[in-house]
Amino acid sequence: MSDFRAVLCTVESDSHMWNLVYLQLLLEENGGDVVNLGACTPVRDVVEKVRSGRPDLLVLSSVNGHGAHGARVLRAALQAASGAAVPSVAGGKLTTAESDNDRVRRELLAAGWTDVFTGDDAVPRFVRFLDAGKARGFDRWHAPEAVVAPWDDVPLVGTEVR
Amino acid sequence: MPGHLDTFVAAQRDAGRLVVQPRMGFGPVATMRDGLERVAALDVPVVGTLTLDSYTRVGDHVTPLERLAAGEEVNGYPLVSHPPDATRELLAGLLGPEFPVQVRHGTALPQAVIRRSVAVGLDATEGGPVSYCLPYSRLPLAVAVDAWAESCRVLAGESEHGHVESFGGCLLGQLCPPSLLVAVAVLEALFFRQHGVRHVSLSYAQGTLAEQDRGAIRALRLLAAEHLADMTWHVVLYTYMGMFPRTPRGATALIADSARLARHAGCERLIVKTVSEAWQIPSVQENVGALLLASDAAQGSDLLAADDDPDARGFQDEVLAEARLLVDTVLDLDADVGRALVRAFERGLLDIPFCLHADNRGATRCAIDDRGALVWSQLGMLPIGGARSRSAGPELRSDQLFAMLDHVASRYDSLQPATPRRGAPR
Ligand code: B12
Repeated sequence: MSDFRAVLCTVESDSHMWNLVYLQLLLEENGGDVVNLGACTPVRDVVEKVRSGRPDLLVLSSVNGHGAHGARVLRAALQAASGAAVPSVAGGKLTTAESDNDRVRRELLAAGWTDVFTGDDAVPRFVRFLDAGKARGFDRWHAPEAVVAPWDDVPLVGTEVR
Repeated sequence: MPGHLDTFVAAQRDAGRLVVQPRMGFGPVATMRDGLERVAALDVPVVGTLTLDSYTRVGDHVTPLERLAAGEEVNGYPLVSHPPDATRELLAGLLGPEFPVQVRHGTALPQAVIRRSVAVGLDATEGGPVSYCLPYSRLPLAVAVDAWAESCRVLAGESEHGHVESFGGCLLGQLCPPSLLVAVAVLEALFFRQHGVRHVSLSYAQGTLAEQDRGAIRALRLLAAEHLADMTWHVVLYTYMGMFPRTPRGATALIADSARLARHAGCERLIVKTVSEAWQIPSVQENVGALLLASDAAQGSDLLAADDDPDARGFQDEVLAEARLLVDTVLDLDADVGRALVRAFERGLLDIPFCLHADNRGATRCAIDDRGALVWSQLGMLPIGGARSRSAGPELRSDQLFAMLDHVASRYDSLQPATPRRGAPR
């Protein structure tokens, strides 16, 4: 018996598969029953699998630098389809520069991703997320706030300095 | 008479010099131009590269320009999306006999890329029906075979000296025993020849152990000489194509070792990685630095004759025997090389370890042995290995897979600062 069912995918332009092979094993070792949709996953295949398979978790992994955009496209497609709401996480190397990581995390969390895993500690953080999700349900997870670095120059809505 | 790439490489070979080449690509024309200019200006034998972005690789020619217009980056040069004149201007004054430029593109359906390349005067490309399909696409292998056959005919028909480099010596970039890499490279060269291409290069990706690599490259040259006598060919080495060291010191040492390997084993050309490999798309500066580093390391090393290299001998014999068996078995399946390749994968006679593509059987597995060499730990249906057991091995755990992927990176990242050797540069 598995603890949860997961769909694993990447974005349409990303052909890297070692990340998918690795994450499938990691998910299985943590109690997941995994459908690995493979490299260059078409958006409609992901939407279809989520609707028909009703997984507990959708995991998107991308490393080619186009993942941030692909994640936006996938999120929009899931939102447009009926019956495709699912807790979902993204991770890997999501743009072509490491310095984008905080900004991308912020954007994807705002767009409705449950959590985003990039950088050195992505895997240990993900394993903690899986543990919590198995215990309480993945939709109950509260992602840690995205870091806003001073140089990111984000307007701080709602703060007022007197 | 061969085209710029072949002429240039042959001249450098005769002068005893290694040609180095980046894997460089940027979305905006201006950045790409800057990169090409700075590579062309180097005082070492160098070939220029247009590495295409991954949207282009999967046939999406709209998104690259949209992303660039939105102020984002893409991971390569969108050759088909930019107007042809923009690419002609990009190359103007640079592309020529002293600075050949090759297109590296990872497309299973290469027609649009090849047509555009030819239209802007680029006759050197990379790929192959197997090596640009199974690692790069989810399209059926048979579809890629037809597309590559057509593209070879276009390249050969519409350019005088069209050159194709097989990516067969790389495949997924890591954890593949060399005999399969050598066999696929030779088979793809035979496929190119069948479809009219006369100028090719055969690739080989640096593995986990230098002795094994030297043996494998010599085996590749022997097998190529047997099969490709009527073609112009050379061997191109790729700096390690798997998970790269994360520290500048480790990455630098690995790049330098790849240059030495290229010289020792008599490779004519080297595709060089950068210190940013483990992290992100490298800058122009990092590319230029890596090319100089590689060229410098190459100058300190000479061709090592097989007879003077007893450590590599066993590997050479083993790779040659296995690769020859693989090539002969595939060629026996059908007189048409493309059809033979499709049938070989159907039957698992060719089978790439860990490859998720639907047309790959996935019954083989690679491991790293006590010597640090890449070996078959599961043979699947491969026509090699004689009476060795074919049963599936124990399940692999994620940490075991990761340790194999990380084998080279962690070895180089844990190197201590080098104590300068006597006579060593610097
Ligand atoms: C092997 C490799 C290839 C092989 C892939 C074969 C295959 N089909 O799988 C080949 C040679 C074919 C290839 C091709 C290309 N590649 Co490549 N490739 C690599 C390389 C060297 C290793 C990747 C790898 O195997 N990693 C092993 C796995 C286990 O690790 P991982 O993918 O990093 O994932 C880890 C974490 O990121 C994390 N993670 C990943 N996803 C997720 C998701 C979640 C939810 C979580 C929690 C964690 C997580 O977990 C993993 C374990 O730590 C990397 C550089 C490197 N890392 O050294 C470049 C790299 C990924 N490639 C890159 C690029 C750009 C390309 C190309 C576009 C060519 C080019 N322009 O250079 C094409 C892509 C084609 C396409 N359509 O996408 C870039 C991406 C740049 C960026 N993001 O800024 C990299 C970083 C190299 C570089 N610096 O330029 N590549």
